[in-house]
Amino acid sequence: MKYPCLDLDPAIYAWNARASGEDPSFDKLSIYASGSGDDELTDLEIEDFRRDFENIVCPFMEKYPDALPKSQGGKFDALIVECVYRFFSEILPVEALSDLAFWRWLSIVSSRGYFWEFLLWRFPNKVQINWGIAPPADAREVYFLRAWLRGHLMYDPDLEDPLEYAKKGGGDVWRSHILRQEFGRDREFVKAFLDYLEAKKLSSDELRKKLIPALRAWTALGSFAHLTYQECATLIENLHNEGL
Amino acid sequence: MQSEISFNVRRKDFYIDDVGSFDGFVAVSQDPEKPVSEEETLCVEDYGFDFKNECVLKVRINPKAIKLNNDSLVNLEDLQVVIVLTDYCLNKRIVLFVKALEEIGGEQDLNYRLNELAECSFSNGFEISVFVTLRRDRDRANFKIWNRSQVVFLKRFTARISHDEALFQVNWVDFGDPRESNNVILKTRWLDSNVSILPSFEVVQVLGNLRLREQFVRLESNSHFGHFCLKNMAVPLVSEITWRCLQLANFEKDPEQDSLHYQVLALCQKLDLDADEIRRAALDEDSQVRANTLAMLNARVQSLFSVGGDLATIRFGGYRTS
Repeated sequence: MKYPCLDLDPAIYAWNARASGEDPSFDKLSIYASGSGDDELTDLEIEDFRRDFENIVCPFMEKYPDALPKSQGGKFDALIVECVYRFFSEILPVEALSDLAFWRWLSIVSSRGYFWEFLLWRFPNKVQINWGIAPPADAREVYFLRAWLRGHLMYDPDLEDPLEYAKKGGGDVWRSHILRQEFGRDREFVKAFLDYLEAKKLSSDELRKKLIPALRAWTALGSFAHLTYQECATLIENLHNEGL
Repeated sequence: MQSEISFNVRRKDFYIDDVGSFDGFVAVSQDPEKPVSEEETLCVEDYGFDFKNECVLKVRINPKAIKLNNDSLVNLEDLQVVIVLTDYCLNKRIVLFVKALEEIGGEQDLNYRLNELAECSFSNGFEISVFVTLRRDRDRANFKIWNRSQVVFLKRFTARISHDEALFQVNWVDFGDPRESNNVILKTRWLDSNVSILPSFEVVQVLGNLRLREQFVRLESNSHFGHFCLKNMAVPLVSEITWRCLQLANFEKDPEQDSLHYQVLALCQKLDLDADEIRRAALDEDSQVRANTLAMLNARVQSLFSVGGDLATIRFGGYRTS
């Protein structure tokens, strides 16, 4: 399926038009299609996604009409993972879903700016990177791409709920301690890490000041890629209790 | 009197770094037409390069090249080789190959087509890591002495897109207030004080005046004085971000990787400055100390960007060839 793309310059223009309360002029957007096939993803298909998405978002928006409080961010981000992952993985290949230009279109242009407004509610500080206005090296910081990626990295057909681990862990844990870390590249390690956090209910301080530094220091000496879940779990516990 | 003494252990002090020589053990090529090489940078391409369809990996391993030290506590038959492939864009790692060294015997070539890996995009490139570690059936009880995750040899081969490790990205926005939108080009907005934990874009935003963006782009592409002007705009921003970051930084722990603090420490190294010294000066009660240190920092940033050197080479009075 072909998919719509928005380049960086028109994205900056469109983002600012929306920030001024205006609809961006279609002529200035130069939206183009990438990918292959006869079908093309349009706003019509996105409406199906939007319906499912709204079912999750609406209760939060009713409770917090101005902006989502930071304290609710992690919980909320986990709730949308399944909806984002399943919808987009079914219709587009990984190459398209790694393309910032697609996520920019979704976040800024599609659905008459519904997702732009949603992101403003989620990130009232207006950091544009969440809308996809970012260099390619920062792709994992883009909000919807990140939600899809949680599902993509953790999908495990052998589990009763294949997305069990994608839904575990708060937004901050995923952003700071998984997606930005080298040890976040290994699925079995991430599973063991998320289970450990859940079981131990570590405070943010304990996590940031003790466990993460120990894991990072260990990464300099070794690799987790080839370890089983159980080996990762034992290692995490040992490093947490005894340090490097 | 100091109540605490700190000791550092450097990587070279660890036993596992002195197991023996692995020269000639592994070589890689990303193009079957090219010979394999031990060079760790396979290629650096512009964004948009199709790594997935253009690259076919050949990994050559030769266990016979390994020479373990006589006093090494480990034997070749205890070890296995592991080859893993990382997709940089997705932060995803896949194990491609695991085999005991003694089962490989002599030189072996392994070929991998990236386009056969449907779960990866490789949009930002990839890394192929080859490491040697203890075999699964040789694990020891004491994890600190010998754990299967520890490696006795590791080599990373990278193919990636070119990108700058920028201290900040500019967010182009409408400044609104005419006093600013008519006269200001760039300004900062501080969002959070957790500089040792959060990445730069979550801590400080550099806002660009949307109204002037087209002119800014024109200036950027002006070959005569564009870069000189841009560098002059960047100097106060870099100084401010460095100064404020060091004031807010937590120096009791290592900063998170990719946090603003982490980036600023790297910058201080380039500036040949002791970050801790700057921090102490930035927090000094004496305003004279603060002012002079900030002035010195500003001068160092100018020096790093060679703004004086650029001015010296600008040609004035027309550009006709003589």
